[in-house]
Amino acid sequence: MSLGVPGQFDRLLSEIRGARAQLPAEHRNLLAQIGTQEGVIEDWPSGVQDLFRSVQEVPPSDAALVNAAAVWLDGLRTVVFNGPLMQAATTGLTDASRKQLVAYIAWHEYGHALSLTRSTHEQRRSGVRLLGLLSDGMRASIDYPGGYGRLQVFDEIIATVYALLISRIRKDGYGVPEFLHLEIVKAFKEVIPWPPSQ
Amino acid sequence: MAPEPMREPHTAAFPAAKIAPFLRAVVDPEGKGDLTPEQAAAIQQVEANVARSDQRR
Repeated sequence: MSLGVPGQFDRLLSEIRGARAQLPAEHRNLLAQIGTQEGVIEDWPSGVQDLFRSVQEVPPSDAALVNAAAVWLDGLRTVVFNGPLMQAATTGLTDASRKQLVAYIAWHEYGHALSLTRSTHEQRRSGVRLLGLLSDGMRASIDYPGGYGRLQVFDEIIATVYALLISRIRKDGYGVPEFLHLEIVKAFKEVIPWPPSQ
Repeated sequence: MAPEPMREPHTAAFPAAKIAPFLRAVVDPEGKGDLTPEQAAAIQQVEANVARSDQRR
């Protein structure tokens, strides 16, 4: 899916798709089964709101979108990135740093897509409790209390842990770091196949 | 035929203000300073960029 001015955000979209291609095959297959797509939107937030309308969903308000770097559109099974904001956020980085940081954000969003489509309501109810079991730094990266509701916290935890574990594959393989609380690991493995079978 | 009622959106947004904290959580999840100078500089740059971008919005 290519959204916005053709060419303007091609590099960003290519980096996002490159990050997807680095995921374990089992996870890539799951994303494909879900029908997950990704896009970069130039005219944010109106372009996102138009996409919601295209699937007969009430679009979020400008206020709900204006400070977002990315949004998952459930009706389209699509994660869309805020092109202008992502471009501004990565200005001045070396190509290598930019590519790496974009990959981390993309992995978070793909983990989020997997969690949103595979976690149960009961699991989501445990999110706030599990949040208290994260390290301070990981907890600080999740906007609760704040932008997320209680039932959204679980998927944010899974997405954050997902990005963390994917980022460590090259160095640590499919091991799980000891600092992750056992309950977090258990919840993660209930939603995401880990270690992946392929 | 009446149009189908609009469904409520399931909005799951990644806030720009959490980009830098998230990047730190990935590269230094225990907060022990386990990040390279290059990683630290890159995340600081992103944080400053997002703050500037916030001011413009």
